Amino acid sequence: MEFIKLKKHKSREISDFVASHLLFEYARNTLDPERKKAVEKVLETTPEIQNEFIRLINGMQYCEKLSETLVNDMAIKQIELQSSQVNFIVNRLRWHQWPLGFKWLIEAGIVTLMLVLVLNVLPLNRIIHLGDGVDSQNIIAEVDRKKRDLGADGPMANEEKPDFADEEPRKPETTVATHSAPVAETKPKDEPKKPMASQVKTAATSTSAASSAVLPEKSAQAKTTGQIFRGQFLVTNAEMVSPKIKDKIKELGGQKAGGVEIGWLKTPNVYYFHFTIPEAKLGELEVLLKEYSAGRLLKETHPRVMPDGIIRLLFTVEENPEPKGSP
Amino acid sequence: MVDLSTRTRPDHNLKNDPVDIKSLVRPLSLFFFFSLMNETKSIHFTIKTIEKLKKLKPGSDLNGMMIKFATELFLKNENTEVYITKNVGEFWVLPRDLELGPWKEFHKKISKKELVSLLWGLVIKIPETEILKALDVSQGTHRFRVASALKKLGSNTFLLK
Repeated sequence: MEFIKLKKHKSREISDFVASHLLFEYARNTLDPERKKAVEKVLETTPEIQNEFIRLINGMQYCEKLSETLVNDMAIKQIELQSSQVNFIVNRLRWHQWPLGFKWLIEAGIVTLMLVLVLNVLPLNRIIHLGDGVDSQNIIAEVDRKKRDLGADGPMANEEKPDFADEEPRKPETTVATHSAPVAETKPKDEPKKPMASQVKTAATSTSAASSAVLPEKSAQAKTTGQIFRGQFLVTNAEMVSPKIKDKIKELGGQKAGGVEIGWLKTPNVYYFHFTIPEAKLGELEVLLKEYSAGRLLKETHPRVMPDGIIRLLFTVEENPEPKGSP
Repeated sequence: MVDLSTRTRPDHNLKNDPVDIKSLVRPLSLFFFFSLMNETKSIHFTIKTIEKLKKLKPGSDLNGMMIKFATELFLKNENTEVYITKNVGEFWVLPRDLELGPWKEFHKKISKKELVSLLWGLVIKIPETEILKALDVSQGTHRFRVASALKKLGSNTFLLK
């Protein structure tokens, strides 16, 4: 490095500003002898520059000490190990500094979340019954498609509602005629005593009207495949007998089929029974009914198809106007 | 006067194969530790810089790139908060009579660029020519920054007063 010599003739002393900026070079001993002398001259005379120089030296000494800092071998190894991306993210989260309980809580949360996801996504039900070869779903009712197609044009073809509607037990035509449509229309719908009966009447009239308009009765009857047992039992002391019949039905596994309870008091001295029962229990029920009345259950066809082994019964228990003992 | 020219320094003229990368851990971790004063962060930044250096083509100027990457990372880091170091002894073994108080105070006054020049030049002791090349600054600028930083640092220490 070539140094430009200062003027010898009429030489000027360096200013404090220049001296201040040359202090670092002076401290590092990289100045040429002339500038070194000039800076020393300023340092002797100017206290501010002296303080500045002291500060500079202090700083350099402090840096010297900082440079003696060593990096632990453990740290170097850790840095080498952590140079993978995953470790980097984990360290960024400061996982190792988290409280232990909190760590466990998060781990448990993650495991639970994964379990929920797996259980929801995987079709476990199918996997469990994979070896069985049989679908685990219970068949409650089976409908033959071919037969249903035949009856598709019938009046009841589109009736898919599972609920049974209460209906009147079939009586002689004369009595049916007396209970024709105008009766239902004259009575208010929300009358407490006969809520379902009135609905049935209107429904019966409307469906019968529709059926007569669309198709002849014969074809409708031919296409029905279900069955129902109907009857009317005249008993003495119906008030006492009716609960016994009801209890027996429940004992035999009977379940209500309409909107009302089994043994519903339809009118004074008339008890209405509309229920389903296992077919095997029918005999027992008939035996009981024969004890109180001479009436019989008649099997009739009905559009509603019942599951195999289940039958539907609809009958009334009425007070006999002419008891056995009377003349 | 302090003669810095005679001081020995580690050889950083290495090729970027996995073995040589190890020798960069010390300067990098020291740079980030003294610039960030946050041990966790400095480890992360060191790893990040090493990862970057690993991607360089063989034969690249590792020393220069190390200064460049580390400086860029530090300058991008907007969080200038100085943390109290609790577990310094675990990773960095400081000299016995060294107190970090003046250094923390110094952090409040200093600009980032001055700090970078001071650390690379006087603490980690990288040759001036390499620093100038890596930081892309002139000799005068670099020396001015170092001198300015030293005066500010010296005002916090009272070793000679």
